[in-house]
Amino acid sequence: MLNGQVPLIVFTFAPPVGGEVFNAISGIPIIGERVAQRIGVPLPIYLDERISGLYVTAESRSIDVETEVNSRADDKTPKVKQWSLNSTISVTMVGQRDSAALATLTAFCDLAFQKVVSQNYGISYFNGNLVVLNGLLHGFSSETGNEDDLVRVILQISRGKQEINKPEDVPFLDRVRGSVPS
Amino acid sequence: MIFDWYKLLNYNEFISLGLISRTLTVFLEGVGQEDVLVTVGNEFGITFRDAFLPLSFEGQNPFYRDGYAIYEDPDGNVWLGIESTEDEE
Repeated sequence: MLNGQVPLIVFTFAPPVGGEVFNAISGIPIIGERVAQRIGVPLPIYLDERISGLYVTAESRSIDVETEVNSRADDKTPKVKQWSLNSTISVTMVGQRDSAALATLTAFCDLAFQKVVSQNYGISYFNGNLVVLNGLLHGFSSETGNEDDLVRVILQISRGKQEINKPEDVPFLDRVRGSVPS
Repeated sequence: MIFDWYKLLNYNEFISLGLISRTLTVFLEGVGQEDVLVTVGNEFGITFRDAFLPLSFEGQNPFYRDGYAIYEDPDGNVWLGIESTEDEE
């Protein structure tokens, strides 16, 4: 149910190198091994209080552009350089402390945090006219209060990325034991 | 001390690339997949599991720190050492 009645966030993690662990995951019939081997495992979380106990309270989007204006000595029109810094969306949610989906969302963000450098993951978000495909984690924060049992979550997704990196072959290094290698 | 050594790269080849730093993702036999950050600054060194290992620091080759070591062999190959916890075979 993409872009349907409730907001949806989908985490996609590229298959790890070696594939042994991934093979076990891709055996799930609904995913399909061939598809999963190519694009990774899509893991959806519905942001609906009836389904997952999570509820989207606000969304915002922002685009940051760096602009450099260089005035010229001859009083002609200044030269302007621009480069993009980031394009992000921010999703504010509330959830119940005992929500399994909230725990899953937190765990996925932790997993994405480990893959920030390799970028072997993607985050897609669908809610009405706000659609992000294969974005990157830009920020995640959660806050709990003493007055209620709600957790306030802010998830920021960067739209800069367009595709999931394919895992590179990891070189295997043999071990040589001794005081110095010989 | 007995170490498990892994040949990471060749010093001269890495310097010729002109890179300031590079993260190497490698699978170490008996350890698993690890990231090794190679940096070129005032000192050439590697950072492994939060331990910075400068190459030939103060003339020490190999150089040991916190159970890890770095060594450059006569051919210019840079080795990462992890203190062995197993009995020598």
